[in-house]
Amino acid sequence: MRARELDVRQTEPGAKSSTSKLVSLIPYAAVAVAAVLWLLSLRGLDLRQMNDYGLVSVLPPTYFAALAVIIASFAFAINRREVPDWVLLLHVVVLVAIIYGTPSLAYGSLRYSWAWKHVGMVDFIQRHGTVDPNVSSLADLSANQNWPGFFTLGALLTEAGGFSTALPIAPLAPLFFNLVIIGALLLILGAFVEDRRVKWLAVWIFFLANWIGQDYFAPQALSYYLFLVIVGICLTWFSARPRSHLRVAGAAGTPGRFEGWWGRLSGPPYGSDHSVHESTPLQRVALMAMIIASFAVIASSHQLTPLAAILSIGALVVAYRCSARSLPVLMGVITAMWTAYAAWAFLSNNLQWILHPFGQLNNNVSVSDLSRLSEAQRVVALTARGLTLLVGALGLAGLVRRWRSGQRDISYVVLAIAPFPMLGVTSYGGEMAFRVYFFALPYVAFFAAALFYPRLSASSSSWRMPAVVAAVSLLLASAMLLSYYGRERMNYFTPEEVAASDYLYSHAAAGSLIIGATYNYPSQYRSYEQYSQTTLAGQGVTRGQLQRLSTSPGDAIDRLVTTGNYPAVYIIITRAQKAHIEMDNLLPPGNIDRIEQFLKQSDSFKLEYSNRDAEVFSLVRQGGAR
Amino acid sequence: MSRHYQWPIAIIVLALAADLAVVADVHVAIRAVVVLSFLVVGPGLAFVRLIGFTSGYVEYTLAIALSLTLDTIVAETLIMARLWSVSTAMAILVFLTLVGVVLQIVSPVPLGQRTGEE
Repeated sequence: MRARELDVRQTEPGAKSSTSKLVSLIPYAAVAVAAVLWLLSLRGLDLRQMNDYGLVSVLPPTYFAALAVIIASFAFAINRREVPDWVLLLHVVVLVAIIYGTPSLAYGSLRYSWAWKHVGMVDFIQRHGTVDPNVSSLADLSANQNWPGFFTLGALLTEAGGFSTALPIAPLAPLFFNLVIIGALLLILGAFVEDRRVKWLAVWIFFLANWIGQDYFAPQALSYYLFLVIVGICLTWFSARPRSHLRVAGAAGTPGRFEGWWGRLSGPPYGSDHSVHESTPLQRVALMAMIIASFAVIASSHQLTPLAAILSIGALVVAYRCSARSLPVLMGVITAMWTAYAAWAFLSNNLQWILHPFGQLNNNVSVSDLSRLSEAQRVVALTARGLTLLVGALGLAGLVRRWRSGQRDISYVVLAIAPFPMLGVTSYGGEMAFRVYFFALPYVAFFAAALFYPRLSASSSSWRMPAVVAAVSLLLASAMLLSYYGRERMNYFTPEEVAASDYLYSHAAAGSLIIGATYNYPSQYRSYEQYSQTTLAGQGVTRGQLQRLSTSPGDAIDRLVTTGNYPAVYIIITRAQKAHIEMDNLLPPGNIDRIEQFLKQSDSFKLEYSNRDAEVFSLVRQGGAR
Repeated sequence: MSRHYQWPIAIIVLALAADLAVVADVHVAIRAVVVLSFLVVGPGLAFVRLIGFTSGYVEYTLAIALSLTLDTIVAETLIMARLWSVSTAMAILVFLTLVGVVLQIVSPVPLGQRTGEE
């Protein structure tokens, strides 16, 4: 028997009493109340007071009230058959706005230093009208020059929108991408899941557990969205049918050998997960054209997502869940062509370190060392890992529960497992384990939701299930806020910090060396290729260099400024850089302040610009830094 | 007005308004809203409606994804070919959109209904 479920809305017809009509209005009112409370909570936030627990440390009670109201209302509404889908959608939209829209709307500046660098990549395209795969002034951005898809879109949106820089549109990226991902998730879940409670709860859990933060103005955000849409199309319109040659392998009326064991595993006739969404050949041609075009955009935008897509669609094909059997091969060819032709400049210069982690599973699985973090940051990191494990455990329990009730969701199982081989390919800067979670999350969220509603049944007036959904949602939301907002003390840049960077890039001559305390400041967003950039204590600095900086800052700085023949040298020290140093314990406590004092007292440096959050020093020529 | 023409006309108006906003360089507040709305849904909606889905969220999800895909392909092609100009990019996207809309108008039955399956 197929495990397809009927829509709960089709059950329990009956007259409504006036009381039940009033009760049915609760979700509508709650959405409005939550939205108003949230908007009120954005006023007058003292973001400068954030501590190492991040944004949660300064959010007002109205914010948490908004979250509590929308969670309680969703838990209530999802169990009520009379609540239409669009009201559930409104709940998800408000949840997305509350969690993912708050930094965008409250900060007034672009958050996260990498987003500023990506604005710089768009700026490069705007100024030059092209990309330069061979530009090597900054290795981090040379990858972007070789995979420029997202940035060309950014340039189009910026210039067509009438802006001189991507800074006005970039802060909206997290809100935009999370909102459009709702549709992609519904496409994936709509392929097989007809119990709308499971579908909406899976979407809900996804947004309560997506703490990875890959939704900012970056190629990953666009690629992830297109990746989800491609998977959704494959599941909905290219779901494989039982293959006749497998059937004839056995005696008449009995299953073939392959069909026999696979049939037992996946459930008759080939699992419950064959889409009923009919399509014509012409529709499928049009959809396949869209898949190929979207994948081409992914392949030209991001290094990791093509691999995730090939693994995911390949796994569906191997499991007889996708009839587009040559699609993974085509995806591989497109990826190889882009890498070998358009991205060869990057590949040839970086092949050694790209291939080095291949097969080193232990190293690639390992995540960042917590021992160096501040105590609060350890709590944040452990909470994020706890959230990951909790969602994984809920998903596993949901899978077991559905499996035991005879429901074989093979498509979602293989899609949840498919990203794991990426662990054997690269460490991706130590965050591969989290990216695997990111790519598996939609399907894990489905199984987690299915734990609560393993089979279709009529909605009841019982308070138990709404209470359980609300309690689990509150638990997830608590962990999510700490995990997603936990590094906002350093991700947030005050207007004064932005002003200091503006001063720096307005005054620094082309060819200058710009030294940040770390890379965590609004950097490289203007004319980035014209400057050399380095840091005192940031990424790529060795422990020996850090020790030298602590014991003898003059020597350490001197070594940096004498590495090349620069027309000018600037050092910028900001509040967010200090937060970064403190949170990640990059330098012993007080050291960055001592370095600041050294620069102020040194005859070799002049304080060019200062405000309460930032200082810009310039090297006075002759005699180096001492 | 027949429902058959409502969406095509809406898409045409949005496309032409967006192109006009770029060419005439209207105030950034108006230009941003009109142009970004078009770029996010316009080109995709012109073609996705041609395919003929009955579900609203499916149509809009695919329309946004296809719009961003077409936007990126057009922009990236021009940039890689060193022919970048925002006016050219907009003209190509508006042209593609109009092609999709014209096909919608002249096609009496969407692709999904050719065999009566959808």
